[in-house]
Amino acid sequence: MPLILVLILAMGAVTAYLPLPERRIRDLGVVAAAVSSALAVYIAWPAFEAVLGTDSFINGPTGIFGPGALWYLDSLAAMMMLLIATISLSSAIISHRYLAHEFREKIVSLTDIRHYYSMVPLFVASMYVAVLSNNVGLLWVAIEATTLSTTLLVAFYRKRSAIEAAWKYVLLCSLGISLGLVGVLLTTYAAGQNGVNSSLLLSTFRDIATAGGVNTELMKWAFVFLFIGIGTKIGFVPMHAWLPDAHSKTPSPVSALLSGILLNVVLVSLLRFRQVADIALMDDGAWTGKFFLVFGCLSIAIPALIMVIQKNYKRLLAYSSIEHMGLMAFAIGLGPAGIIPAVMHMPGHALLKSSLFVGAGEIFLMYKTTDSAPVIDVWKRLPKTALLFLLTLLMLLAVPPSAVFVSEMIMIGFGLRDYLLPTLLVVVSLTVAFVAMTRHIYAMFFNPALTTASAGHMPAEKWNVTHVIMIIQLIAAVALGIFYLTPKGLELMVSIAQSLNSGLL
Amino acid sequence: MITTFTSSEVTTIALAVSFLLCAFLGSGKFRLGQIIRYYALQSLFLAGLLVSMAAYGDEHLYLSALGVIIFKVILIPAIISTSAKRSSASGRLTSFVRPAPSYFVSGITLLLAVLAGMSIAPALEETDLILTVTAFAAMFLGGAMMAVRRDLYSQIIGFFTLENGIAILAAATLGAIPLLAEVGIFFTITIGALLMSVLSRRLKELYAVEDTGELRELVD
Repeated sequence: MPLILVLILAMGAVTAYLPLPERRIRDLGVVAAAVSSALAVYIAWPAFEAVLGTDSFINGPTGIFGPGALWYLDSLAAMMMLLIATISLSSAIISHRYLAHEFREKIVSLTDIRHYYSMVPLFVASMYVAVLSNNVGLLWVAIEATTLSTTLLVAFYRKRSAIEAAWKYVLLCSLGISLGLVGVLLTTYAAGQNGVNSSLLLSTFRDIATAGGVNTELMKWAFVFLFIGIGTKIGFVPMHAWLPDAHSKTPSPVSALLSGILLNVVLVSLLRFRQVADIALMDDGAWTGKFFLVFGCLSIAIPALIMVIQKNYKRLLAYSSIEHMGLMAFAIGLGPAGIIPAVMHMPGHALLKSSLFVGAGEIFLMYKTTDSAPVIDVWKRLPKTALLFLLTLLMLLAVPPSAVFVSEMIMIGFGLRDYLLPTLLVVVSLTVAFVAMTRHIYAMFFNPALTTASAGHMPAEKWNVTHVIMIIQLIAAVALGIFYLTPKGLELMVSIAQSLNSGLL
Repeated sequence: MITTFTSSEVTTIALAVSFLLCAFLGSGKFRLGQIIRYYALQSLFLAGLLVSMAAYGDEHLYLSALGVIIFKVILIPAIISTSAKRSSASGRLTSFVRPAPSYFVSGITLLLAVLAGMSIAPALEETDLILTVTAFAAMFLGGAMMAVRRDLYSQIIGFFTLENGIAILAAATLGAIPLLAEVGIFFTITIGALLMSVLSRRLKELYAVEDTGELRELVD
C-alpha cells in the first residue's frame, strides 16, 4: 500500500510534464494531492482504531506494517501520516491559486509551474516514506530525498538570494544527512556486534537493544553523529544557518510544508534512533536527553533574540519554527514523560505554522516583497487575511485554547518541577519571542502611514480559498487544544508518545 | 616483536594509503581539473579497497565497487566538469589560505582524524583499524576542504570526499548493505552532484564569481 501511495505521487510528478495547459497542470496537482491524502488516511486509520481498542492493530503493528517488514506503522507514524496528508492537501489547494496569480503576473513561467508540480509530489512522497520506513537505509534515502526534491523549489524564483539560499540548503543539509549516515552505520554495527544477525530494520535494532545485544559505547558515538547530522536538518541551533534562508525563499505553500511538517518528520526520525539508544543504554533517556535539553534551550533562546531584530516577515516565521523545534527538543530532554507534550506540540505547530506561511503568501502576493518595512496597513488592505493571520499568530504564541497552549503548559509544568533554571530561560525566551512577533506584526498591520482616503480607493479583499484553509486549520488547532484536555484526548496522545518509549512510559 | 602482514592486508594498506594520498594532494590543489582528477582517482582506489574486501568473502562488495566506478569515478566527475565548462568557470580556485598552508591544514586535519579514528576504533571491535582511520581521515579532509576553500567546486569535491570516507566506513563496519539501500544512496549522491552543479552554474551566472565569500545577501 505505501508503494501505491508513492506511485500515485510519482504519477502526479510525471503528469506535470504532459503537454497540457497551465490550468490543467494545477488541477492535476490538486487531484494527486487529494488522492494521495485520502490513501494516506486510509493507511493510517487502523493505528488510531487500535488506540480506541477496536482493531487488530491493538497488539501492535502486524503484516506488511509489522516488525520484520520494510514498513512500520504505529500510532506515531499514523499521526505523522495524517499531518502530512492534511498539510500537503492544504498546500496543493493553495498552490493552485498562488501559482495562478504568479503566472498571470508573469512572475513564473509554464516551465516553472511544471517544475513545481513535479517536485512537490516527490517531496511529499519522501516524507511519507520517511515516516513509514522501518529500514534505516530507506529512511536515510527518504530524508535526503526531501532535501534534493526541495532544493530547486528554494531556488524557484532564480534571484541571487534564492540561489544563495538553495546553495546553503543543499550543501549544509546534505552534509548533515551524511553525518547522520555515519550514525546510521554505527547504530547498525552496534546492533550486530554481539553475534546477532542484524538487519537494517529499526524494529530489529529495538529488539536487539531490549535483549542487551547493543554495544553501548558505540551506540553513544552513533547517537552523537545522528544528533548532529539529523539535528542539522531539523534546524537545531547552532546548525540552523540554512533554515531561515531556505524557508523564506520558497513559494509560500512550500514554506508551509517545510516549516509545518518536514521539520516534524525529521524530528520523529531522530527520535526513532534515540529510542534504540535509550533502550541500549538502559538509563531512561538520561544520556540522550541532555543533548535535547541543551540544544533545545539554545534553539529557543537564540531565535527569540534574532526575532527582535528581524526585518523580514517570512524569516521571522522561519525563526519561530526553529524556536518551536527547540521547544519540542526541550520537552523531550525533560525525561520520558516529556515526550507526551512534545508529541502534542507537533500537530498544533504544524497546523498553525503552515497557516501563517500561507497567510504570509497572501501578503506577499499583494506587496511583492517579504521585507517588512514596505508592508504597511495590512489591516486595511487585506482585512480578511490580517484577521486570520492575527488569530493564528496568537494561537501559535500559545494563547488559550490553542493546542500549542496546552502542550507548552504541560512542558513548562514538567520543566519547573525537574529543571528550574533551563525552564526559566525557556519562559523568558518565549516572552521575548511573543513580544518580538506581536510588535513586528503590529507594525505591518496597523502602521497608519497609509491614509484613510487612499485606503478608500483600494478594492476590497474578497474571501478566497486560502482564507478557507486558514479558518479550517485555525479551528482544528483550537479543537485539538480542547480535545487534549479530555480523557480520550490525553489517552490518545499518551498512546502515541508510547511509540517512542524506552520502557518507562 | 615483528608484525607480519598477509598479502591481502598489504594490498588493503597500500590501497588505503593511496586513497588518502589522493584526498590529501587534492586538498592542496588550486586547479579545478586537478581536484576533479584527484577525486576520480581516490574513488578508483575506493573501488579497489572494496574489491580487496570482497576477496575476504563478501562478494556483494564487487557490485559496490562497480557502482563506485560508474557513479564516482565516471559520472560525478563528468557532471562537475561539464557544469564548470558550461559556466566558463575559472580554472583557478579561491581559498582562505594559500597552497602551502592548505597542506598544513590538511596535515593537522589528518592528525586529528587519526586521533578520532583511534578513539572510536576500540568500540568497533572487529573492524580493521586502518580502514576506520582512513574513513575518518577522508571525512575530516573533506570537511576541512569545505571549510577552508571558498569556491563552489572545491566545496562540492570536499563534500564528495567526505562521502567517500563514509563509504569506506560502511564497507568496513557492515560489509555490504542491501542492494536497494546501496542503489538508493548512489542515486541520491548523483542527484546531489547534479543539483550542486546546476546551482553552482546559476551562482556563477548571477554573481560572476565562484567565491562563496560573495554569498552575503541573506543576513539578519
